[in-house]
Amino acid sequence: MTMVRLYTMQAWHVASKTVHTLRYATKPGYRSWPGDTPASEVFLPLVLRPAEVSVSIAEPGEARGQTRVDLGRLVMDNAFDRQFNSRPLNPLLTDYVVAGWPIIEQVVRRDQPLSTAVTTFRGVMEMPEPERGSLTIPVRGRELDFDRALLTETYPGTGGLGGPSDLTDKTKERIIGHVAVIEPTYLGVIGGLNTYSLNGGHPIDDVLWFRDRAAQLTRVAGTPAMDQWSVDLSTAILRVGGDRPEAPTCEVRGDKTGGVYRRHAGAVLAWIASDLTGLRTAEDIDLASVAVLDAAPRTVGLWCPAGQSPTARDALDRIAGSLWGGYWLEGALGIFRVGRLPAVGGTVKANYRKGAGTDPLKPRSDSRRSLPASKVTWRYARNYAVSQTLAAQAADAAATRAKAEWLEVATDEDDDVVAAYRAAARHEVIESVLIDPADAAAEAALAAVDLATPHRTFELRPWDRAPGLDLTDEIAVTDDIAGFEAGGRLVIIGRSINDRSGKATLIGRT
Amino acid sequence: MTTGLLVDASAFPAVELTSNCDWTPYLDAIKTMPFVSGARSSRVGTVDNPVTITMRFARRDPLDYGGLLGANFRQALYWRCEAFADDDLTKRLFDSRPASGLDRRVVPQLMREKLLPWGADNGFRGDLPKRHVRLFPPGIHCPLACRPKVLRWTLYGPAFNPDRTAASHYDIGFAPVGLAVPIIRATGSTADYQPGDEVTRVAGGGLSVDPGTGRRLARIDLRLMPETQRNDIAVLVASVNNDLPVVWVPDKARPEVNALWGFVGRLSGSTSHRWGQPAHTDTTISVEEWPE
Repeated sequence: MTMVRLYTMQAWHVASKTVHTLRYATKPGYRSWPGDTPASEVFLPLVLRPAEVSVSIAEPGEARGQTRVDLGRLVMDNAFDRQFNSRPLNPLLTDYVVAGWPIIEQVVRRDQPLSTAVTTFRGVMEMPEPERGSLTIPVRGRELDFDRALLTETYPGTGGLGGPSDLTDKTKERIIGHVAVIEPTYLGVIGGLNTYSLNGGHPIDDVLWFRDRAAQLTRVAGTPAMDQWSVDLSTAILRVGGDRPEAPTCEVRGDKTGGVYRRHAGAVLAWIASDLTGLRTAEDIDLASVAVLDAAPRTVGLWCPAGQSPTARDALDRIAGSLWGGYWLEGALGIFRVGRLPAVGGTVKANYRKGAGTDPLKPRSDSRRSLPASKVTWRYARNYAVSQTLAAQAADAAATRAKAEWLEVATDEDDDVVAAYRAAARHEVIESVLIDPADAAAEAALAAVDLATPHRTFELRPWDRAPGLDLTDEIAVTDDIAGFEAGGRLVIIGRSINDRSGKATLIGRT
Repeated sequence: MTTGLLVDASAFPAVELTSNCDWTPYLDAIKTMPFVSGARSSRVGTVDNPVTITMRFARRDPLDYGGLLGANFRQALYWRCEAFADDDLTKRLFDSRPASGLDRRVVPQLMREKLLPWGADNGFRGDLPKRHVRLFPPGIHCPLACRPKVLRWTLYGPAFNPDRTAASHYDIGFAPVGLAVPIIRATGSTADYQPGDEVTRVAGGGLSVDPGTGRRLARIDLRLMPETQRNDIAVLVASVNNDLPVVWVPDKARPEVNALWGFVGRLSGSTSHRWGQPAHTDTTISVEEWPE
């Protein structure tokens, strides 16, 4: 019995300024039953080729946790139909806007009701590319929604708390999590005191210290006098008495919007995706995966200075990349999920054998990354305001901190790796947004264990289209190439959703 | 000699379609292919309250065929097709009922009594076994030969959902009416079946088969056609080309043959007439099923 792919598109009808739902299917088409929701709807058989989509996570240590969704192209049939004397998809091109609107792909057995359909992909359409007799609509994953500025609030530049004129229309600064050393934004002299903004007007948890050229100033509760400072935590406005500091730095426990001080990696990732950018609602986030990631909590810190907002994707990548094997992804169903890439050795979800369930394994070209590392250095607690000129009265510890951009923790040299690989063994250095030395040491240890053995990636084409297998699942493959004779294990780091060849492609890592 | 019909179903004459029940999305959807965008009724018909579809034509044009195809009728459903010369339905020109006066079933008796299997589910009526009926999309083929002003279909009986459970609605995919060319197949004609599966042969002897939609292919050989028939074929072929529907009715006198071998399709390839005799031509027409 044939499986039919159903495509439900939302499109903007320009003339009536309303959203319409358009339904198409692969041949031979489909019609929902009278008891389905929606009832008796026709999915016209106008899809010639389903979109080929693939999702992949970068390997640990590479590309800082970034995920990739490859564009698929949906090819539709726009042949001239003499029964109606028109091409069926012309109205889609002339009366509707589809670029930027969602599309859902489902698979259903032709003789079953729509309620049994399984959703395979939720994506976003781009501008259609018409030919004479066909129409191609590129479809992308929802990850690319995050390619927009993380912060949008700007300084009006009107003076006072609106910022000086040189900050006009620059994005307000923001501190998320716990940052070690940053330079606050100077707003000018307000009420006779030098005033700084730390979090764009949003509440913060605390400011631990404030220094000028590494010389510590005293914190007071009321109005600060010379060499004193005070901070209003609900607006993150910091006031310093006396002359304007030449090189102010401070350590801040940041954003506490809604009364919650967020600093653990999973919670921050989920917050950036949902409340900070407004891009996802709570239903679209896999909160269970956030809880799993934060079971071993890691405090992170991200500082966005005034006028320099990163993209949301960049922020997510930096945070996920600060955990060894950390990733964030939207996946095929558009559910935001975070986690760590597991090492081989968990439960096997599927077994494949060359020639009896899958095409032969194909090794992918390995980069330099496949060489093992004998030592891992984890950099943390970044100093964003490194300064070499310090005040005479600066304490030694403060002076050392002010001159160093990173704090580092390194694992011991792995003798076995050095003995086996000699000069080829690498020394891996990871720059992260972590703040705690214990966290950094733990991550470095994880990385050292993972990097002590070389990893290879393979491409696999199972004939059963790998149902139910998702990224980070583990599979066992028996092949006759090295390492797989008695069954080798692979962790899936990429897969195609629809493959034009009719099989699925899995990318696995040993 | 069995005479078949190749029906030009490319254009519906100007017509007003009415019915005694509601249809989704609208009844006019049965005038065009594909099946999936046909009409769905709000109820099934019963003996006391059958579902009727009345086609009122604008002009009394000659028609050779009426059909209800791509439907979800069970074998046991009864149908009747009547053609009238006037709008008041008084002058009946054609009635599909045979001499017994009973309405016809969707799939009539196919097996002779002597061959009826004992205990099988088709042992009483002699129609197709249940698991075989799903292989042939049910349809009603009704050859006419009149000039109706009104054509009325009457339906009552059970229908099925795609998973063969009982349905409380009728689906009609395509209900063509039109002129037909009488066809007497010559020796050498074939009735083929293409499974449409995607077969992948793997090095080492393995085979991976992905099921597809099967379609029937009728290669109709015609020999020694006189000029009138040649002209009729030329008109049919030029008006449908390869994209508009035709209906292949293998035997206009035997509904059981049409139930198994008749289908709606499209002409495939080109049609060439070959002169072997001074005044008669041979030709081969290929009709490929349109199963959507």
